[in-house]
Amino acid sequence: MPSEMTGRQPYVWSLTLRDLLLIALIAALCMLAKQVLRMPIHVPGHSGVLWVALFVVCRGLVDKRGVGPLLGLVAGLLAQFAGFGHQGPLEWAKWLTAGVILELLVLSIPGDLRAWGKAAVVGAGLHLGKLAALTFAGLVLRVPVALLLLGLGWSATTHALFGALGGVLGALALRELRRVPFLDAQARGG
Amino acid sequence: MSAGSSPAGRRGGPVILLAAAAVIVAVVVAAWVLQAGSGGEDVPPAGGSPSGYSVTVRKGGEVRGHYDLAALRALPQATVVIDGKEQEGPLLRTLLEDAGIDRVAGVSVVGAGVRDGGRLELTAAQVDRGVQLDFSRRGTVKVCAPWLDRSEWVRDVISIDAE
Repeated sequence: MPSEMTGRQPYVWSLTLRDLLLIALIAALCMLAKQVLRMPIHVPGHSGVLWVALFVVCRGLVDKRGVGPLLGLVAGLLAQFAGFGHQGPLEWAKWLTAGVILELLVLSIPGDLRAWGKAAVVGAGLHLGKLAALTFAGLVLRVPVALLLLGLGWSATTHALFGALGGVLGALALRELRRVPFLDAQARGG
Repeated sequence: MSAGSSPAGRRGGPVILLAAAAVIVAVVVAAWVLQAGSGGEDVPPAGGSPSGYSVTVRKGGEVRGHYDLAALRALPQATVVIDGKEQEGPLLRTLLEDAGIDRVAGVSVVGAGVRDGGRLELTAAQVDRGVQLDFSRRGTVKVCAPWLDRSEWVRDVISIDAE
């Protein structure tokens, strides 16, 4: 029975094959977005606009508890083993962190991810979470602290702004996607 | 239940949303405070490196010199335009010669590895193909060249090891 009818939100272990395919597809699109959206504007975090939007879209279309961390894990494994990242053995950690924060914010902030305000805050939060994981990975990998802190304020500001923008784009995309009947049914858990 | 919805219901929604936004702003402010506390600045003054950042140059494992930003700026500068942006700083060859290294079999450039692979291996021939150090907004230098793929660039260079 669709979750919208029961009023209960199902957990991640009730995922259907279609849910799993959607998660895998969006994780792969995130990797592609990181590679494609690399504009020479020299502002840290700008490529997040696209993948944050994709995270928001995925969580909106597969509305089950635990989907955020699962999406983060799949994206992290892809980044780790397909050579998309630069964090060495901890590449997966930043994606998983983003997924976990996505989940926490979606569950703790009331409302719908199609609402701009919620989507912007969720986007900013998960993008900042990725930056925090990146910084922590640097500490674990014994990068000099002074180097990690250089430009951290600027990076945090741009990550929050691009994350919020990505969240809003995700909300807009979600609104349009929910007009497609089978995707709407998918989001309702049907 | 609708897309990406919280089971907590809608009561207190704006308050929780504002609280979450406030936490995000607090995190950003904390990042600025941490940065200021470390002495790091986005755009360092032309004459110095406030964080104590420097590049170590070695030949066969022997340290030939430590170059802070002021020392790097004192070297002859070169400019190259890559993807529409000017990259300005000393050539790698210029830095090596200043450190008393005239002939090399190969050079390893090592960076912090926070934003890239953190390592670049160059042959002697490649060193002479206009490999450039560029001063970044972060107050560090990166190694780049027009013929190097952007994914090969090394940011926050820490050491340059010649063989």
